[in-house]
Amino acid sequence: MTDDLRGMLLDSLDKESRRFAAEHRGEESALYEHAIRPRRAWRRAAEATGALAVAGAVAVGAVLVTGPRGSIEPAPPAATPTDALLARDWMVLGADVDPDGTAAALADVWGAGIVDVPACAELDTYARLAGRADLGGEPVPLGTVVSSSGPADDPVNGVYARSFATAEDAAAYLDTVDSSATLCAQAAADDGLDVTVADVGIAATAGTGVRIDVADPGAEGAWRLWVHVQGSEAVAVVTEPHADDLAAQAIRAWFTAAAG
Amino acid sequence: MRAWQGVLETLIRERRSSLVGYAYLLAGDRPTAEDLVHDAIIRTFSRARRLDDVNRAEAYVRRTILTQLLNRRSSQAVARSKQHLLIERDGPPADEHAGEHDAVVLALRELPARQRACVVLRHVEQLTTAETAARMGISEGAVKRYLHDAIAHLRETLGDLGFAEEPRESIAVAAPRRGER
Repeated sequence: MTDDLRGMLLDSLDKESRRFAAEHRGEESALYEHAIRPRRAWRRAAEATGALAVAGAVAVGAVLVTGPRGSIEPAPPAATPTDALLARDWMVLGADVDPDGTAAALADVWGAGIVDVPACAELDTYARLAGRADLGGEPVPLGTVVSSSGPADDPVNGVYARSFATAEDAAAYLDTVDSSATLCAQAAADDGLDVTVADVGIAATAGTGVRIDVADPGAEGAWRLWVHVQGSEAVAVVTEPHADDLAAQAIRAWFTAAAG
Repeated sequence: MRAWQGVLETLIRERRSSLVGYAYLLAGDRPTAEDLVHDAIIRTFSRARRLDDVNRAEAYVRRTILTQLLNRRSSQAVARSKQHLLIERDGPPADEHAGEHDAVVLALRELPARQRACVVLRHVEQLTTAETAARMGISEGAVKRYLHDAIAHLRETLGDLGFAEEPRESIAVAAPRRGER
């Protein structure tokens, strides 16, 4: 398509913008704030509740009943049952999958100090696709993936999957991961750690993802978390420092298996 | 005043009309466009996200507009979901399509939502095919098909405006879309 169409589209956009601006000269920020403030408060309470649930605490009632909905709502059912996720037959070409394996947590790699920052501690939660129970589904550990040609004790890629209630819920979870990672990046800088966050996609694989690298400038390697969402499903891959990074292959293999 | 409140104020004052124009291209009619923007602003700022930059906030709102559109949330559903929010328009609600004579938008309106979205992402936001596919959660092949069909229709409706075929692109394995922050 040439600049002709782009020019026409931008012209239409501009005309509509001007029309709207001419008809809406009032100050509406206060009205938006009025609508947003209680929702932010409720959402933070709900997120805190989700984190507590993961830690085994169950004191959710008092928090939720103070929210605008006024009642405790059970977690919605996942779009794909957990059993179906566990039964999915998937493989990564050129790699071995150990269904009982797990990857190192962030604190295991860079020390407990980093998880003193709440937003960074949440990354370990999201690396297991845990938390945000309000969005439905539950995390399913899929094991670890290592290159078939590497030594048995090589660093690994740990994989989790989760089916949320809806695609919108899965997208909301990804937003939460993104938000925590951004907060972690800001806080971790004070501790001398580099946390970078990037929105990433995988060619020929639908969906969208967030990739988070946590590195110590004084050491080699990075702990990497890649969460990819496609429809109502999410896959998280943690790549330990110095591991062959098989995150993209694992994510693609998982969703290819889902498509049959 | 918290950071998000300042960003909200700036966004409403400086960016909202442009967002409505953007949503108008995507939705094809004014009431839906205005509802999409309204709902997207509230959704974006309601999330427990640190919003201290108006450009980033605007980008989030645009994404949310697109997500809502692709989730086929009708304007009626949007209106129902926000009835309790007590936001009032400061002008009379527009009758659907009243006074809308823009030939481009009239032609866009005849396209399915996903075709419209592809056209806007590709030619207004100037995303690559891969980025458009990632943003919409569909394959690159689907994007190309949607664009091919959309362009054929626009060419038929608007005349030959010098439309050319989509250029071929190389495919990245993993492509940062906004870059690292």
